[in-house]
Amino acid sequence: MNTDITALLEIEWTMILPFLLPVVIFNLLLIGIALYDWFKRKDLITAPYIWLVAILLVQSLGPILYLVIGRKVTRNDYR
Amino acid sequence: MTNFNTLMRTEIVEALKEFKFIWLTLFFVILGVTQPLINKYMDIILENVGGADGITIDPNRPTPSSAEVLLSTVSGQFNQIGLIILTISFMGLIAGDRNSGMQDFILTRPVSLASYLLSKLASHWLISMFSISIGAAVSYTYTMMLFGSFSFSNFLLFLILYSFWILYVVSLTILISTFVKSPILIAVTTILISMILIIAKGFNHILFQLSPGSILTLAENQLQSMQDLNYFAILTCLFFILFNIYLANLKMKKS
Repeated sequence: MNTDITALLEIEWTMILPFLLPVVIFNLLLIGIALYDWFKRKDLITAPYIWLVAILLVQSLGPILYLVIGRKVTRNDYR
Repeated sequence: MTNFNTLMRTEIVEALKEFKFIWLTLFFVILGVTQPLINKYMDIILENVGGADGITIDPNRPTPSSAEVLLSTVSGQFNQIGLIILTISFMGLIAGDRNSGMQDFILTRPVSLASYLLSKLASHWLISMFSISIGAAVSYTYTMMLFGSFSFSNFLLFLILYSFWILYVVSLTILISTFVKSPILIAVTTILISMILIIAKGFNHILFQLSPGSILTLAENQLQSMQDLNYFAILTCLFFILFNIYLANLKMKKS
């Protein structure tokens, strides 16, 4: 992974904007839905903060895995 | 028939409550948008994102036709990552019911096993085809914008044939979930078998033309506007779907 932030400044943004914009918007929408659901269920599910990190950092796969698996794995209160 | 409708409505309402319509659609839209954009702007991306020193792209390379781009979207994105996420999204379709005890609850009512299985098949097929159609339509418009026009009727025909493949994958999931208990294992087995079928369709042999994967060849040939098509594949695919449901029915009756 390239972690050199200065490279971001050298990018010609206007050239890749048509490429970037739709993908970014759809990804943000996906993250938004997952976050909305996470806020409603964070007291219910197991390991909520690990899922939060997964939603925010794993691109497009994180929110989907949360919505498929994470929200169903609920905490067992009857111990 | 009323049972079938009720069961199907509950499945769709559940999918709505889980935002499944929204995120599955979004996912397929992302997949559909990415491929044509990458094909178009490959040189700009390589130039800007870095790590590409020394990589040159032949400036005289032929620009891919819109049919080729659509084909690579389908075979490269929808049939690989798309299939994996799709299978994961309905891996719990019967296992979830069984583990929560809902299945016993439903099947002790006057509901026939066939209508239960068929409602699962139809509802999950509808959900996934809703998402895939929107994703493919967005991909189609992008390809049109970036690479020139492509016949809409061919695209529609492709989508209809592709939906048979999705129907087969759903029926395969139903069949496997009657044998395997854990949802993750169901997803892995389904993905493996469908991947094998996708690879097997490449071999030009009569045995593989009779396999359910041949419907994909037929669908992809719609995009390439080839002649001499093997419409027999629709029949074999439908046969395999019915066979899967029948086997699942038998297996569940025994247990």
